[in-house]
Amino acid sequence: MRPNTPEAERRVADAVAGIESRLLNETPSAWLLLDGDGIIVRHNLELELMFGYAPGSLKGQVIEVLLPERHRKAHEEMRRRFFAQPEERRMGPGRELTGLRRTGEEFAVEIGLKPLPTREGLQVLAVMRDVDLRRKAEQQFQAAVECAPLAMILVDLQGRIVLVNREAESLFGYSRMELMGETVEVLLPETLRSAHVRSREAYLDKMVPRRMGEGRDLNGLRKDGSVIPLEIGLNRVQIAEESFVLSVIADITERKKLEEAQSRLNREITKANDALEKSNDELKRFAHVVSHDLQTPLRSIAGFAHLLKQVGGSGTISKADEYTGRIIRGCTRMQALITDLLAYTGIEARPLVRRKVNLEKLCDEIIAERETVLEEQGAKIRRGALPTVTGDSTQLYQLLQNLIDNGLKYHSEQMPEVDIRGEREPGGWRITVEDNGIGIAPKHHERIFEVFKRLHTRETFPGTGIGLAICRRIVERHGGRISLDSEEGQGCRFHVFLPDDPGQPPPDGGSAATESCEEELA
Amino acid sequence: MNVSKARPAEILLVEDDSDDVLLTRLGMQEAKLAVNLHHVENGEQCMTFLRKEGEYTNAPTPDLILLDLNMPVMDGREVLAEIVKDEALRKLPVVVLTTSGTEGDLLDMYDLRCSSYIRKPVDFEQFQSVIKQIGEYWFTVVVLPDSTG
Repeated sequence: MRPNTPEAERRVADAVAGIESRLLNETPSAWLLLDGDGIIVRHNLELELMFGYAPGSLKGQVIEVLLPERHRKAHEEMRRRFFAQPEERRMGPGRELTGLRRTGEEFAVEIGLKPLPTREGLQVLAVMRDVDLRRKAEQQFQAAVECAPLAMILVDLQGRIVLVNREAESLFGYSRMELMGETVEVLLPETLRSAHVRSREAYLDKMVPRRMGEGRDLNGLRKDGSVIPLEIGLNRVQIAEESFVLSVIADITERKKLEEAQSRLNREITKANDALEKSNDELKRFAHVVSHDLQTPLRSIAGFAHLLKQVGGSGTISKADEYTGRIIRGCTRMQALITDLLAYTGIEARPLVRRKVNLEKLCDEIIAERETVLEEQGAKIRRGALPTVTGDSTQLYQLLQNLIDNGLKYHSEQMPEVDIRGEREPGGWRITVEDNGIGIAPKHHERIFEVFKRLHTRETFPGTGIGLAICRRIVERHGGRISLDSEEGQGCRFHVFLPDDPGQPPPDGGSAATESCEEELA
Repeated sequence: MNVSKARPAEILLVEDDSDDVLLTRLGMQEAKLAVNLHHVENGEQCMTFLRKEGEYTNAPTPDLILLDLNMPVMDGREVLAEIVKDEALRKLPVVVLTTSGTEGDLLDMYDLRCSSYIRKPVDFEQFQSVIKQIGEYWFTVVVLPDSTG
């Protein structure tokens, strides 16, 4: 049974009104209803609690009492304009005003507005929220960002710069006004921009914080066009329901320099180690060769001395003569080996004295010294144009002398002819010493530069086999390289490359680098 | 090695040093070995000899090769490598005679399967005894009639 009396209807209506009234009063946001004169015609308890007034004391007051004195006039203006052209305004970031509590304390309040036409005319419902704590947190965030000793840039999800701190301004050379609203790619070199847009968008999908040092290093572009190496950390930041990406940026120019210096140092240490190892190996090989080659004549001497003793008085003169002759030859040979060894090791032992050396003058001296020999042999030495180079004149003299003598010595049936000329090459000079002698088969080209390596018996061509080894050592000490271009029976062309800068390795590698290192260590 | 007693052993000495050639020759005489000592100066000549080419068309197949390691043109290591590659020559016994006694040489030699490796001593008496040992090891020692020639 449903009561249908006016009394019952009134009770129902009262109950409904009671619920509505409670709803309006107890809603956790403060609200008020404003008439065209700015008078608060209705409000809830929350408004008084927010502004610190006694219950019921705000009804009938002008809205501007809730604002700081200095804003009141401007607010009246705004209010009038609003009533003239009412428009709904939802709550949200940026819809903020400064409220004034009864205690005189100011606080941030966010406001939403809704025009309500009523019987009493147009009224406005204003809903308010105390956002003071949030505003303070934001201010703290901004202050922290501003004062951070690292450059920081806050970027929205579209990549637009919304916040720039002081460090970022000085890092990139832009003022914050110039950067606000620009896409972040303005801070990158042109070539990286499109790739960055892609990786930025990819990052937004995951939004995993990326700590500094974890990601790739990036180059940044300053306003003046210079490029700086950067390290970047990324963090998602939530500000008032909106997501941003905070980039923390460190200029790593100094660190890069240190890293480069360190890796340069490492390379140099490796190089020095290699050089040491190489020189150690060379020493071992050298000791091996030397012990072998010095023992050979010693064995002859010992052997024939023994035989001579055996022959004694009973032997024939011719045998004794032969053995004595071989003993003497063995001694001479031993002497020659030792002299040449000293010459070879002497290249290392003496410090290199670098100065300008006119190779034409040097070469002419060598030719003049050989004038008699040349005439006797009917040999010719032709000197072409030669450069002035930087090097040790004694050693360069020895080098040219050995190469020229080599050309004269290993002659064929033809009259020996030796040509010397110089040519400019990238990074240095190439000196070529060419002869018309017996030539050397390519398979022996490496071997002939080794200590005491010979391609002929002593009977065919006398000598210890040190000359070209000395040449190579000299050229290497000058940071250059020596090579041979020859076929059997077709003469030899020895090429010596002398670099302008002995510290630089020759264009196709070689031993210059290790050599210069040895010098630096020495 | 079976060498007929009816003929002296054929030995090929590959050696560039004329002193060592003479000392070896005298050492063999001293040891009274019945050998025909053939001598070549380097590896290339050695290969020509072994393959009976050119001036060595009538050369005998040696019963033993005495090979010096360090020679110009083609050294002992290259000769060994060549011999090992050659089906017809790889069975020939080779004794490497050298001045160097380093491990590296030794290993090289065994890798190349030379028959033995003997270091030339500086002392002539030792040298002679080495030559004698080679003879005793490889050949029947034939005592020759005493001769001062």
